[in-house]
Amino acid sequence: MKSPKNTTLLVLVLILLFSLPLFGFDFGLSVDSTTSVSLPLPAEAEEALGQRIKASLWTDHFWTTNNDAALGIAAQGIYVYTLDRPYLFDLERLEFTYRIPEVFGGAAIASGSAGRFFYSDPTGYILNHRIDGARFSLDFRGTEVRIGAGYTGLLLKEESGILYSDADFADQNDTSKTLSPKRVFEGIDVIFTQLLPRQRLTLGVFSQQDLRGSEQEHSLYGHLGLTGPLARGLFYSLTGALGTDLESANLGYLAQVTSSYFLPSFANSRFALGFLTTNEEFKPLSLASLGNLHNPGLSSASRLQVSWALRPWGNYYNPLIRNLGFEIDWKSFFDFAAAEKTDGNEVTATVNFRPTSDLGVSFLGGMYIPSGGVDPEFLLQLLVSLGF
Amino acid sequence: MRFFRQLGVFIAVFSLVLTGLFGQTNQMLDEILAQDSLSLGHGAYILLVTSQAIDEASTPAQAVEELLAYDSGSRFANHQPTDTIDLGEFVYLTQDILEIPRGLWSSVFPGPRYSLRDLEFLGIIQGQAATHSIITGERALRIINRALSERERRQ
Repeated sequence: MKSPKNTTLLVLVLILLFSLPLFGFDFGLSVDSTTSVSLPLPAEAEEALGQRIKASLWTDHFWTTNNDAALGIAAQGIYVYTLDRPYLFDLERLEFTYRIPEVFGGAAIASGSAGRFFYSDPTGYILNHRIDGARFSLDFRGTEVRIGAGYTGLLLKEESGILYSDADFADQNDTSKTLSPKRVFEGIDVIFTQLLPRQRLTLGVFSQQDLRGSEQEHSLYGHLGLTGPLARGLFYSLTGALGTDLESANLGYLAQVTSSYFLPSFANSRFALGFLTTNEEFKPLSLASLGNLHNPGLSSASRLQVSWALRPWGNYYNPLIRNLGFEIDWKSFFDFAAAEKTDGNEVTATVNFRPTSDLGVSFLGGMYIPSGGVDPEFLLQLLVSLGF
Repeated sequence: MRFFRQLGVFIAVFSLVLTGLFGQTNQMLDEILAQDSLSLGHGAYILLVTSQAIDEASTPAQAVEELLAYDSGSRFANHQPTDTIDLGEFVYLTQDILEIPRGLWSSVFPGPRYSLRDLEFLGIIQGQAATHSIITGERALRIINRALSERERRQ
């Protein structure tokens, strides 16, 4: 936030956030610290060390009426420190919500929100980002319709992952620009929960338009998903999406299949297997993360993933050990369009520990082994989360 | 949804039966279930009888007097038994009287805000919850029911 206008606006919002507790609003502060070390050491040794501290000041409140309708407000302002940027202040959330339990004579539940909030399309890959906008849902008990629309041009560029076109990447490197690309989007999803027994079918369309004057790139997507149980403890998920930019009309696709098996009798284990593939023409609106060490981007990428998560003492009372969890994760990356089909393999091990409501610790160790005899890369990462 | 509500209340009441509470408390339970906004006297009564700190023949006014002996109760020194309490205050009393484990900050700075977070973390508080929101008598019974289950697991 460099301009005086933006600074004034931010100060006003922060004053508002601090004063809301006086009116009975809940509030709190959470601090998340991420420390990472990458090996082998790069030429500049300090680049091997990463440190990010995020302090979030939040407040929320809700009101209910006699007919069980609810209105709510939630806001969160953040301060972010990184080694190469001593401060950044931003408004992460300012959301007004409502829920009306009976509309159309009791046939449906209506809910929605407006403001700045986190939006994710049903696939989780096309747009998975904070946005400014509104969403609305009508749940007819068996069929739910969700409509959402928003704008990305008021987000701070430094905390934005809206990178769709070459113009977006150029803006990202342009130091005179402080805000994210000016794009609007619209999405509509229909979710059927009773069409197939115990299965959830989702159909939807999503479109986005570039509002900048030149080199505009708009895109349109259609997607479907099917999830549900296959047997006791065994769940599956199928996701498919087609997307095209409206200028070239090249058709991109994304396909994903995942399955999870829960086995409580064996140390509260969850086994997961998944495969995701996209072609070169598939371009999401926001950046998607495919790995912890290796992140090839979502275009022309394929990933096979196997993981095992367990909580050996999950049935114990003592919260010190009850919430101690472990996860081992293996990812193989492929690029079927390239001459070398295999990119490499990534393996990570994570220990998660959450002994109390206000303290969480996570430690991750990982290795990426690129194909073609290239030296492996290593990552150690410590996350500490403290709530006040 | 109404069925699950009724089931929850039934389980809560059944738990209270198991804790030896069901003597003259029939009438008191009816009063509590009828409260759209829980009173301090009834909240104190149900918690203190459940923890066996007072006899079930006590009145809500006597329960409030007894409450002052607890750290969490001292904040109600100038309150009347008919005053309403909010969710955060009730949860703070529940954590203290039923000896539910505290988190880092509620150990250092005890109070409704941190108690609410601790009990949400333990699954004792479910659904939408804010410190200053009203609490119905029905919800109070369900919270006590889950708190007792948590205490049982610990023993």
